[in-house]
Amino acid sequence: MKAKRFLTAAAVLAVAGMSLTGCAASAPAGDGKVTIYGAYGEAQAAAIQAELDAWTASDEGNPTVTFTSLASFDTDIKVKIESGQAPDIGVWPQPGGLLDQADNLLPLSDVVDLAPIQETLVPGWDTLAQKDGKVYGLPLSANVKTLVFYNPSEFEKNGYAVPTTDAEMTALIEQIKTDGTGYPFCAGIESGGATGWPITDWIEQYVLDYYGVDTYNQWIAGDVKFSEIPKATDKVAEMLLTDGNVNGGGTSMVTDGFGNTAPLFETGGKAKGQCFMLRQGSFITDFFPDAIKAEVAAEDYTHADVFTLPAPEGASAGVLGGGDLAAAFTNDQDVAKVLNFILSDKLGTIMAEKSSFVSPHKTFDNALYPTGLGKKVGEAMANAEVFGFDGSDRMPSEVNAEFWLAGTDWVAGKIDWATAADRIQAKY
Amino acid sequence: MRSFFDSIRKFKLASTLGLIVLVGIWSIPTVGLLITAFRSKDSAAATGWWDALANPFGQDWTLDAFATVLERDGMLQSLISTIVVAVPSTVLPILIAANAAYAFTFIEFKGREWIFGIVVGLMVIPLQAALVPVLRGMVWLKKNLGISIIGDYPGAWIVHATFALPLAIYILRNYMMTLPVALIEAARVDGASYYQIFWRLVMPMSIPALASFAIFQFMWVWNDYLIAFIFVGDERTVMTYRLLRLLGQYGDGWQNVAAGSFLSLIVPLIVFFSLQRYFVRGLTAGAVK
Amino acid sequence: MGAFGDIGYGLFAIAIGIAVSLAVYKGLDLLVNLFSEKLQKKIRALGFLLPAALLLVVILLIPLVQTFYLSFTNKSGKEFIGIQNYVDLFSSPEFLGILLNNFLWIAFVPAITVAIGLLVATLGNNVGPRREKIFKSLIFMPMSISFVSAATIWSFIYVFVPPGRPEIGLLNSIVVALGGEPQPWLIIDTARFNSFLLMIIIIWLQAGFAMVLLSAAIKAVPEETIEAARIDGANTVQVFFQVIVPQIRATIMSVFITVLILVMKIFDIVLAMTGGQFNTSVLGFEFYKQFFLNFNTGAASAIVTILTILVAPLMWIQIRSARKQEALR
Repeated sequence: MKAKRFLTAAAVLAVAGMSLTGCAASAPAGDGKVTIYGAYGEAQAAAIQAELDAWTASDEGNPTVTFTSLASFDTDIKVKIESGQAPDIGVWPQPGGLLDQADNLLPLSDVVDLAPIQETLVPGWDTLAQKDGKVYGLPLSANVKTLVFYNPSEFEKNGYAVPTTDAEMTALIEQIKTDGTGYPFCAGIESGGATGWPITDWIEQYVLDYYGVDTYNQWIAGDVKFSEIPKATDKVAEMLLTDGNVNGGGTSMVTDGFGNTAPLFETGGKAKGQCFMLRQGSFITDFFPDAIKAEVAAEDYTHADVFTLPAPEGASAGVLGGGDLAAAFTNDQDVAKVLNFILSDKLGTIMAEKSSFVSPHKTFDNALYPTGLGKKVGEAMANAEVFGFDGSDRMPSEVNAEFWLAGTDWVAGKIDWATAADRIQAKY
Repeated sequence: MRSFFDSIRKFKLASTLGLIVLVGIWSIPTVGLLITAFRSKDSAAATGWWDALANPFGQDWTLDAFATVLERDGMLQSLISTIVVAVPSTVLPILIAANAAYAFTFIEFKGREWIFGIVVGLMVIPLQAALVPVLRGMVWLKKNLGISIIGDYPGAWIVHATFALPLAIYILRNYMMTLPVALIEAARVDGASYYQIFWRLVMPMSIPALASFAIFQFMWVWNDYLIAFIFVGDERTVMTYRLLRLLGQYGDGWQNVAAGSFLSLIVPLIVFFSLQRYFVRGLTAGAVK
Repeated sequence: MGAFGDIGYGLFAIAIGIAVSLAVYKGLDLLVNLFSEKLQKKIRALGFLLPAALLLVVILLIPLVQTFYLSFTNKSGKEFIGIQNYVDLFSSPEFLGILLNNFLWIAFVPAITVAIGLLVATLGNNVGPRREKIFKSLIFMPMSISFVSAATIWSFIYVFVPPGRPEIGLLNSIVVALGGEPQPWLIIDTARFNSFLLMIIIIWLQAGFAMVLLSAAIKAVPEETIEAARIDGANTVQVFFQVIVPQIRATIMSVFITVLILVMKIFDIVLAMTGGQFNTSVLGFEFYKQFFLNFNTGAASAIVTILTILVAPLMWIQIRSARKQEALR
């Protein structure tokens, strides 16, 4: 049954491949053009296009590559597949969503030689998107999410120190509230069609910390239930949903864009909605105000720096992160060439310079990260002992989508966690 | 004896005031959009647009947002794609519907009323009701026969044209019914064929109805999101899709979204105001009274 | 390829498309002429009808029947599962909530749109042609705005920013100026408040359309009928409701139904404003979600079949009013 389905899929793809390339040979030469759809923000999309253009120009045999960022990748890519307009390569931010489409994708080993690529990847990343023993997707970029961004000059002004333990973190939160200098956290979770994903990152972080990587993986697989991770959800509620921890509380979190970083750099105190910490992925630097971005690029960290989110008492510190994984819809020599480039540790020379790019390769040249901040993030990535890949992104996409929705309703105070947990669990 | 409308002119002032209030409310959203489009990122994030209106000289007015969306976000390319989607999607249904309406009006055939009734009934069918099989069919054509209707302009043209046909036939027939039958009969007597009569007499005389439907259909297609997104490939992205993308871009500022929206408004506004005089004449023929 | 390649391709495509359709009609004409005079009379209409009929049957009617069939199949659309999809839908409180939303849209939007259109048309009639033209153009302008742009525009009004941050939402700044607290408008689903906020956008867009048609109808009301009522001692309000309104009833109905049809299919506004979150989803959006996001062909087809059944009565009304017009000639 499964074999039959696979054969049908393969046949359909083969036909699709033929009609796209207009060639019936088994390893077609390609038409000199490769299309990629991805989910990058504007800065990173421009950077990868620049890098791909440079690559095309570097060798006459290299095809022209067009990278398109879809408005709402998670949903739009499905529309494109369903309407027969799949690209040559898709770059998913979620391995789960990628694997949902395995029937429409080619095992990467059909297109490229996997061993040299997998060899240099950070452990665990080589098999993120694996189904029935076949690898369908490999990462081309990564991000680290166990990071707290803060404004050093504001910390100094108020006499706050960077917390290194969870107890210090709790004390700092209390201190900020007692002083009335502002709000401890900025935590917008609005993101258009993907609203809710930032709250899943918070929960994942504490599931990883409190319960360890094995339970974390079982939770993602659906074997540990959403109702069985109370330590994590209670902790998130304590950090974010306690009165006064976030400006405007849960209702303002669900309407505030995740990339709205302005309050972090506010200096007017509580009356102006100033916040002191923003836990987000490394990509958030792309969303900083232009003036701050310029400072960071000039290695000036007076207004923006980063520390690692301390793990709670009696929990192990895990690094949480995510990445964008490439998968192939078509197989020809051009596609293979492009994949061999974007999946290698060579990708990133321009992207690292122009955006918040982090390479998933251990062997990526650290000197290429243009700033100290970028180096810090890159090191956290390369040296991670317990690395948890973004859990919700590895769940089946329907579960992931419901996690976003129910998580949003929970933050908004419309439902309690038990209800949210039931709703998400029902999608397995 | 004063007529009703004369007596009501006493209310001219009151009516004017009433309309000013209404028009004011109606224009607020658009004004906000226009102002925001010409502001810088920082000021758009720092104050409401009405502040800029209250203090127009203390502002840093700029065209940056337009430059950004046209170049970085490919709005220029989308403008062209949208035109290429919209023009045939307007012309084709008019041509096809005019022919059909002509048959329904001037040529006797069996079951004419009955078939026309079905066409009128089809006007209310939501296009989603046929979307899945049409999509499947086009994907099948592409995968099995290599005919790429989908992923390119023709897919959108065919779907737009078909779903416009019932309304177009209805409006055009209503209008053609008002044309003088004697003239057409005279032409018949002179030996003109039905085909000649259609092109030489009926089409030229139907211009108001053709134009009014054209406005309607053009604005509809121009502003459509679903069909263009599903049937037209990504290299030919239309403006509505770009806009939706801009709307989801944080840290980018409101001014870019506003500038993008502003650009997408210009063409339909020009079309409407240049063909406005036909609009009512064509649309209301037969429909009124 | 770039923008200019696209222009060339577009012009070429437009030219080919139009040339082909012209050739088709010419060809059909020549074909019909090949037959005997007697037969020609019978098939003459076909020469003009065939292309339209073909498109309507292939792209609309057959798919409609297929959709109906698919609504009785499973997720992939391959296995027949009877009325299971309908059972699932009607037993899900979420879907019932969506139906309620659609019901609210239908109950409020067309009526309010017509009322505002009528108000502007009437007032416009009193202010002299030059002012009337300006006012009407301004009210009509939103009609040329896409749903997605409209969503953008109204975001400027509904946007909510946390306390202390610069207020850039118009509605909240008014509320604050009046001494209130800023509200996250679009997530307030008490009494479906947020759905009403979305409805305002459609009313704003469509009132101009209603106004244009109603205004033309009012101007066509014969003065004599109004005179007669005045002589009988009717006041202005009475004249309006007892003389003018009855005479433009057909136009009111046709505007009402046009807006109603549009409202039943509403999709883009919900997609762009809330993504169906916070109890704002409607049938048109739910179809999109089920088909494209959940790949559930069966459920999506069932939803759209329900939508079609809901509009069926309108179909009947449309046919009847067309018949009536026929009779008047």
